[in-house]
Amino acid sequence: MKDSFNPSIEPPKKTVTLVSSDGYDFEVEEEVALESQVIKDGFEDKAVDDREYLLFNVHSDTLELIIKYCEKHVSSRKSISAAAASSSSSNGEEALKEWDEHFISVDTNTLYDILMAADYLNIKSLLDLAIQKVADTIHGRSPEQIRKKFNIENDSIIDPWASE
Amino acid sequence: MTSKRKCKKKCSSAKRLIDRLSSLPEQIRDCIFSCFPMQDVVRTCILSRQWRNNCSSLSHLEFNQLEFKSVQVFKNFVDCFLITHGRFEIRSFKLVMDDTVNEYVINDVYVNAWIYFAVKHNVRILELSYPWEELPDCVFKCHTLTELRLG
Repeated sequence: MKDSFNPSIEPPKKTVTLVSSDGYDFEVEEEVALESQVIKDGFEDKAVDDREYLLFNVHSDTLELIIKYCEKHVSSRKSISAAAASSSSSNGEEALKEWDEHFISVDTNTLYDILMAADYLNIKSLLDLAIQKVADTIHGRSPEQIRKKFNIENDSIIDPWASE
Repeated sequence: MTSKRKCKKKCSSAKRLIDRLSSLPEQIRDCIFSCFPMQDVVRTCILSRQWRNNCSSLSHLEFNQLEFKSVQVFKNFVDCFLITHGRFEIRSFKLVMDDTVNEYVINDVYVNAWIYFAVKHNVRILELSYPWEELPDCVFKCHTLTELRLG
């Protein structure tokens, strides 16, 4: 049983600083930052007191979302594996899928920012999620609907859909 | 645990009405396109000139006869697609056909020409599933091929 009077039982969590392109510092737990393959690669080579990453291509608004996503996935993974270890039934994966679906339901500009950041930071599951969202948005829509949704200017000389 | 330490005044993020999707990096665009069938990918070329270029520079090509209503339509589609494909390199080329293929419409000569196209475009992953047993020679002379899957 945990002793609530002795908080030193749990070691302090190691943190990493992520700096957005517009100069904001984000302090996140190490395991959250390691969701990014780019940070993971060569992480061990960096000195412990020098774990600061300048993310020139990620704006603070987007970085905030990315961190939220990574934190959720790290904590969900823990609770899913804990449930599996105690062989208690859990709908953790279902719940996470639902959470993802809600998370990625954003406007097209934000979706684009998430897509680019996930690619830059190499977070595979988030990149797949964003790509699938863009594909779903395009699929099954008429050209006019797609143009409107993504602000695509129709510069084709002949547009067979124009008369519709 | 997340904290924003600096308190910089945020610039107002005015709604940017710009088309950013059209100029996505190639590898991301290819991944988006790979989520739906080739016919639907081709339909997007109607959107704008940029999108027409996007379609002719795809690097993952997948042709599945079972998704077409007739073998003739399938053959025309593949022919037209490959004729207009301007890209130098193709990463992967997948061709799926079943026993219903009418040899008068598509025979091994046709199929070999399609595969030759992929080989000429430095294909790396080749996935073939069709009712003939032989593979064209060009497959064995393809220096860029890293993966060959036969169905």
